[in-house]
Amino acid sequence: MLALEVSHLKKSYGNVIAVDDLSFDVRQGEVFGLVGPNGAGKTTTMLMINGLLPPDSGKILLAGQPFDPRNRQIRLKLGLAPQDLALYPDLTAAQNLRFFARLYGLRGRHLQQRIDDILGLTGLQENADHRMSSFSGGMKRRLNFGVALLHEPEFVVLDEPTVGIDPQSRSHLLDGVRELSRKGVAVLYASHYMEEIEAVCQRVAIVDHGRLLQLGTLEELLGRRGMNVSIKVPHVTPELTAKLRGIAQLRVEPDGSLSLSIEDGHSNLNTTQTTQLRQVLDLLDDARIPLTAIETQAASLEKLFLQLTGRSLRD
Amino acid sequence: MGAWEITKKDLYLILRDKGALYTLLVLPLVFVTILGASTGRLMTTEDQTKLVKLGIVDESESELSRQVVNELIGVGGLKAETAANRDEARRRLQDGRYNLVVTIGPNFDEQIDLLDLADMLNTGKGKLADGLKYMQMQVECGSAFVNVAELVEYVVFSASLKSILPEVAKKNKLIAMQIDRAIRRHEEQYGEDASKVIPVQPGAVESGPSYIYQILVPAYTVMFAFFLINIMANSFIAERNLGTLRRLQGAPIHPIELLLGKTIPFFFVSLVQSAVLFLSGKLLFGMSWGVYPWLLLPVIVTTSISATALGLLLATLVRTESQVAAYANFLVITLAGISGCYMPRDWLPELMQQISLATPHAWALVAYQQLLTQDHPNLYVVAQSCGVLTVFGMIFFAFGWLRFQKIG
Repeated sequence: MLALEVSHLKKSYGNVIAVDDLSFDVRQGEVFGLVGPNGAGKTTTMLMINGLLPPDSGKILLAGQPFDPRNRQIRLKLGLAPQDLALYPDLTAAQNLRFFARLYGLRGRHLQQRIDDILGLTGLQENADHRMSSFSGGMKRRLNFGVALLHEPEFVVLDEPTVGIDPQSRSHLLDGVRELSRKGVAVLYASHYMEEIEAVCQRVAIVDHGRLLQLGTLEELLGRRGMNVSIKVPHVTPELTAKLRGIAQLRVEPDGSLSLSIEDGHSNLNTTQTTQLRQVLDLLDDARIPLTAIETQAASLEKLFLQLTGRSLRD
Repeated sequence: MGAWEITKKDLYLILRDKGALYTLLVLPLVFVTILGASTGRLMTTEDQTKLVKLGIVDESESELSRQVVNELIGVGGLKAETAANRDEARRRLQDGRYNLVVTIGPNFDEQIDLLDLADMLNTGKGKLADGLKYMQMQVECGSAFVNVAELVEYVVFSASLKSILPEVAKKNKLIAMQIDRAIRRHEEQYGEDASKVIPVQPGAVESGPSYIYQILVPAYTVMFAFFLINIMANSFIAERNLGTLRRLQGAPIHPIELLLGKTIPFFFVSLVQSAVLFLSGKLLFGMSWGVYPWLLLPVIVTTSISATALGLLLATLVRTESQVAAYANFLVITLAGISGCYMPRDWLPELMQQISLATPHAWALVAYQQLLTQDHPNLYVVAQSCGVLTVFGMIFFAFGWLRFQKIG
């Protein structure tokens, strides 16, 4: 069953198209990754899904129902952990949880039970009565995540939930996301951290300039990309550089070393790559340049992301 | 229900904010105290600072000259006192402690001895035609009191005549006997005190040292009620900056509940603020709550409604704290100035009084003026003011709501 169905969503700010004909769906119990560089339209999409921004056109169905922000029952199905720490620094963790829980209609014993559950889930029991302003970045993020789960929503939107936190808190949070998935809660997970997406998401949509670039399971996306071969050399000559054009790319690595890269292969070295590798080795031999090392790199979401969205800086 | 949860949360946060509490509760009291003790006193009708300060130099030091001095001290509207000598009196005239100085020359008695009854009965002719000059009396005035010097001379002349008339008349033995007999009969009829000089008191109803607070307390109550818009707008900005506004908008509550929740706490604060100021005015400064104290309540409530609704409107118009500081302070100071919070509204020119009615402040002040300074307040004016304040509140809230929907 589909928890969320987004079809042909469009949103513009004046002449700027933020979201352009975006369609995807999230299944019940699935963690769906939404990745894209800054300004790709992720946050706009999330705001529209949460009813905080009206789309210009397109449809959003939540559990099969058209999304109406005025519908209280629909809102109760949604949980949101925004990128900003949407919490009150002068309230304690328990006070923050109690305030938002009451807004979602929780009362009495159930309210207290949920607060205790969330404090347990986020590992903040010991700090329940401490003001949020005294928390570390990781504790704040965990509390921000916990508030989204107070009312036991069927669908949770997490926008960059692990920005600026320590590895322990990140690991704790990712465990929490996996636990949600196990309980059948659908999660829309937006992040810049590709390793996180790879760690928790079953399917991923890569967006840029408001458009969907690729969508599929991790296996589907990464299966289309193969190994890269990197040959490290101590130096190159101008003649060699000219001869290598079209065969391999010369790169200066962060440590200052030089490498010749043969990219965009498939899961195994294919015929073209093998031929290219042989050509490079022959050219190096002719130029009497020794090899320092030969490395192969498996395809990663990050590499795919950079290939799809480019390396130019985004604001 | 959501509105009440937000209200409780905001009230809790406001109570934790010592700076806001100081601004809303202590600062207006400080203003009232300082202005009441200094420039505020200018606003009273009976005030020592409004009396003409008269220094008297008695160089004659006779019984008759002392009578004249006592007579002058008893004149209403003058704050008369004796000075040791001319030099001392002039010094005080120069430094402003006296507005005018009257000098009774050393030969005062000799000059009076030369007068006869005809001079007294027809002062326009004869020896007294020169006025005070003949009696060796002189009036000197400071530059700011040149206009009233002639009036004071006339008062001094009249007071002197009152004292010297019996002395001159007694030169005629028959008249002297008749005067003594008349004085005895008068004393028998009215008692010995009848002949004593009783200073004249101004008859204005609104006299008294606490009167200034009848003006200052409501003026600063109104001004600081609208000062809330600053803190209210900042509360909105804080919600926006924290990201909690989005979370509230995503919660299953109606947007109107959200707006009410962000408005009601400040309405409560405004009520408490006004109550504290009026209570302090009564307990600390002895102000009166007027003939109908309970009618202050609807004025306080409707003023708070319009102030908090204006705060809501402003909160939806500004985006940053610096915008709040600029616009809110501009609004608070300007509207208070236009409406007459800084001075009695009666002092404003007629045109300005009319223009000021475009501000909610002015209507609040009009209502307070009726209730606090009138013996017989016009209740229609009070009701009208409360009605207009409510309409102001509704208009501000409606525009705030529209604006919130647009930016929300």
